[in-house]
Amino acid sequence: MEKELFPEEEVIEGCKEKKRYYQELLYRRFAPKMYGVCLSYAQNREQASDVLHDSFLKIFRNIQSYKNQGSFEGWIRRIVTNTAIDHIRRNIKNVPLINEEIPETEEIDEETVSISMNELHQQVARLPEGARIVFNLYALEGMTHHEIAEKLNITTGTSKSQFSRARQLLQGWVKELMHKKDGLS
Amino acid sequence: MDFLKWYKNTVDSGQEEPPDYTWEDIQNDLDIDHVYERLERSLQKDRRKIWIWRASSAAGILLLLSVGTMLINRFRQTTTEPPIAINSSSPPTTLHQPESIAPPLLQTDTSSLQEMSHTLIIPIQSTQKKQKNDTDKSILMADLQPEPDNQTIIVNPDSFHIETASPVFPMAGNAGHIGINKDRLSPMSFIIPEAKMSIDYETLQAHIEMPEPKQEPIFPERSNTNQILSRITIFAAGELANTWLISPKTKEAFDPQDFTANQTTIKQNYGIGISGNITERWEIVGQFSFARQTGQHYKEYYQGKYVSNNIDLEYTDIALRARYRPFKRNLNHAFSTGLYSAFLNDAHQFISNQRTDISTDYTKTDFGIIAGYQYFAPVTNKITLAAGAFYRQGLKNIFAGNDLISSNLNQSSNTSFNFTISVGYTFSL
Repeated sequence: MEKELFPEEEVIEGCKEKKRYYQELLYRRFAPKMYGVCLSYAQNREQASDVLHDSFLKIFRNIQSYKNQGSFEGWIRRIVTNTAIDHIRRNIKNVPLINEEIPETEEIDEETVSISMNELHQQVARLPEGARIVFNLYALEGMTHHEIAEKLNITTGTSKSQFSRARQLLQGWVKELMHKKDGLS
Repeated sequence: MDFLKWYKNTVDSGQEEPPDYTWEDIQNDLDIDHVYERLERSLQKDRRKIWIWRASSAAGILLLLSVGTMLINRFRQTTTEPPIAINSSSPPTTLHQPESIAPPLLQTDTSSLQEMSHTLIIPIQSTQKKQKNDTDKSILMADLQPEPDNQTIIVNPDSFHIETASPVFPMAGNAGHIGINKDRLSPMSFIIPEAKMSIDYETLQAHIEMPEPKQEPIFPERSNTNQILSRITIFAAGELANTWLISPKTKEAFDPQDFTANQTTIKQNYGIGISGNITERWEIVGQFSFARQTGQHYKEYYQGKYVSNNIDLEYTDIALRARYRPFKRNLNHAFSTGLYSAFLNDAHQFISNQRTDISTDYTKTDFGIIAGYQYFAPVTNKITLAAGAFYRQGLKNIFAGNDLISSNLNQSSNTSFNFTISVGYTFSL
């Protein structure tokens, strides 16, 4: 309904003119989705809120540089992702990685997985910062290990190993959670 | 389904409302951005204004000095170049000068002049209408009078040659005019109030008898300049002062990122003074100002508004300076340095035109140093105009402190750049 009343182009133009009404519209439209992205990268909700806050400030301050080329949502998402990575880097000097070997876990049938987004974020938040970033960049942003390595200033091997370990851990934790829920029910 | 795809779908499809305070915080930051942009625009305007002020002041001073120098030079030239007419005592006649003996220029002997022996050159055309007497001798008696007339003789000061600009010597008109080559004469001007000139036609010798030239004084009353206090000058001075109150706040306001901005503060001050010579080139100068104003104006963010904040201080001020004229040949330039002492009469602050008395916040006295330059333009022998630029730097912390801030946390001192005009009357003792 809101989209019909206010097309994306109009909202963007309003934001470029720094009209508060359009800025709020933009925030209301994209914040819930971007907050989910923030939660995937952040360790807790407070950190996710900070990242969201900083991201939208960057969006409003730099919206003049958006030239209406490509997906606007994609442009916003890139800003949110980069802000999240910067935020983690700024707050944690040595981004922790997974150092120990993770035993192979058996594949789970994702179609039977019924966990909430909140529960999923809780599991993702258990991952060490570095591994979480690598995992999200690969799984959510579709980046290659080479791109991740360049972005995070690590080797491609490290990116691969961190991703693999993070995936094993997350799969294991999701399975564990499923079993717990099954046991309770 | 692949675990990664499942994870991505879950995250992408899931939406979660962020806390309300996130938008509130973003709005607050956007408000600050908005205020900052307005401040930045205002500061940029102020910076432009400051530069316009500075450029105008500099142009004004230059103009003042140029006009002053031009007027002085004109004044000197008019006093040293009275127009002199030559009235011939002989009636006009026609005379044929033999061409064989006519040199291109008539050489004249001025050896009869006291202390002046120069060659007088008159073009040959000028000799062709000389009066011829019985002894085949043409004698021209010329009386020089201060009247302009129709013939001009240009005096070349380098060789002291006199040349006519016209081919006809003033025999027919009984009068001639001696002008002066202004481009070259200014350093050695002279006056010929009365003279007699005779020209021997045969030998082509001219004789000029003239009184010893008097040297016009360039600077007034210089006869006893070596005696101490032989010249006393009283003067009245007016000035435009660009004043600064150097304090931590003023220093911070130079930062473009700061919400407070310094405003150009211009005050008008008036004073009277007296000066006396110590030697020919050294003088001592005392100046008194009953109500010297200083202060600092700001633009600042105050209680949610961008307002003007003016701190104005008024002092009774006494200054004592030593003045030195560095050029022996040109005593119009002078540098001076000295000390001032000031007594606070009033101190108040205007915030958005609301006046607050802040006399207790500032010390009752101040002192500091003065240094500057002056250019003197004599108008007559007694009256002199002077234009100058001075720098005053207070050496004392004038902030006395108040209930909120102690004096050492807000150390403040007066500074100003002053552009002065003064008129003086000189007595010779």
